[in-house]
Amino acid sequence: MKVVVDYDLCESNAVCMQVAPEIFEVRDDDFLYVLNETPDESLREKLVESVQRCPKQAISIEED
Amino acid sequence: MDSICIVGASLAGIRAAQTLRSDGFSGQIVLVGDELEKPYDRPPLSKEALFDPAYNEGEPLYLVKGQDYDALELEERLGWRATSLNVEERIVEIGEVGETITKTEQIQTDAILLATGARAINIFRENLAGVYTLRSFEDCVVIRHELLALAEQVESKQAKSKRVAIVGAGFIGCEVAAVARWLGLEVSLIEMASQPLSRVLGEEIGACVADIHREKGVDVHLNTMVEGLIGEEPNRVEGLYLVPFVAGEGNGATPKTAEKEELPADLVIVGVGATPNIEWLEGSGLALDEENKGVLCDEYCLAAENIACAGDMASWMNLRYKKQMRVEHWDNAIEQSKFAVRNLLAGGTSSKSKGIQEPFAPIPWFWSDQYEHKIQLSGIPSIDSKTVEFEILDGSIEEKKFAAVFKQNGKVTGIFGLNTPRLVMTNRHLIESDFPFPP
Repeated sequence: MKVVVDYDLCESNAVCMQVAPEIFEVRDDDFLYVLNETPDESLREKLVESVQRCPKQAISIEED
Repeated sequence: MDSICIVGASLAGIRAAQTLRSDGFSGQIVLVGDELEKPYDRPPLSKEALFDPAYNEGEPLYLVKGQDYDALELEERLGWRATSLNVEERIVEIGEVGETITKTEQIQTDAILLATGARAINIFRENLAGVYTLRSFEDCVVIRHELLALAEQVESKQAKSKRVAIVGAGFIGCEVAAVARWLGLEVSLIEMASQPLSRVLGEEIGACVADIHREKGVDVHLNTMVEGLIGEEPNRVEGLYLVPFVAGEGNGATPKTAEKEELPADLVIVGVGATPNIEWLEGSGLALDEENKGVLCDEYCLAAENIACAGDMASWMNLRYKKQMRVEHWDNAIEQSKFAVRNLLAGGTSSKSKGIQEPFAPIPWFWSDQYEHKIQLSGIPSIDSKTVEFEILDGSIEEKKFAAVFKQNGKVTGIFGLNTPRLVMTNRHLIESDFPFPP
């Protein structure tokens, strides 16, 4: 699975970083960085939670 | 457990359905909601959906789209309102929404999730056009038309100016104020308290929020109550009567005997809060929490055997704070619905689904967007007493970019951020270590 972020929608609320710090990081510049674009299946639940809790619906999952 | 009825087709309801399916629940899911729309997201309704041309007016922002929605295999009862509940038999009686309810149906399931949310409060009894509350997509579309029509009159110089009066400087009020200014309209923001959001954020940060609005040209009235609306029924509203308001001890608050001030307005938006949709449960046998005004639930969000609650209408025991609470935040509805349905599944009577129930003990979080500013809060600053104290962690109030730590009795109760989203999240652990769960 692949993490897709729509940066036009992302407002760096940083909820995803709290839910899945292995995948997402909002840095000092207040921009979101995806640390791991193709996370392991074991991170699926965290990724799904990040998708659901993103206030801007900016994250989606692309299946292989 | 082979079947579940989810009463309420908004954020908590749909996220509950998603959790059920992703946890492998293959039984029947009935989704009851009193709006015809499929579950949609409400936060944009007071923000971009009010003005952004890119926002498709015909459609709200759906929470689950297309094939993903179909894959949930929900048995929909959209446009149906729950009217009563039989707790023992787990029967929800529903009626099709119309002028009067004529068609009714009974739904009997193994478990029930109650997530009927809250509705906006309208304090005005006058029957005048141009006065709105904002809660649903339908409300948003109407208000959007009104705002754009007023803005068009100003732009085309048909009118010199048009004024929107916003009653209540809570989050909805502040956000709508920002949109109306963006559209070039005059805005008056009227609040009974001494500062916007002061009950949550205290005087000083509340004052900073007031400044943000003043800087953008909003006419801010604090310590002010709206005594009534001006206009001839059933014509359009022409303005409001304002009186000074002095907050007293506790809930008591006394308006001074002062002259009323007339404020002309072309549109009135009422943003004075919401009340949970729980009246239909009176007499059902479920306990209602008088103080928090929600359905009384335990730490697992269970209101009775095989009946759970989530979202704005749930008052549950948050063991992290050892307090019964009801939280109207967007993020809370998502998280709570997950715990609630998992606890329903775990409490199921078939041996296959029996599992361990988990208490729901979150640190609440919310955000608000006003103009170019992002406001965020983690925690509950005033958890132990009404007075809140804070220290600046980074930045400054003057530059409108700062993070602050709220403290009570030496414990960190909240992290606030104005345009510092990263710091709100990276410092959350300070709350976690002072309010640990499990203890």
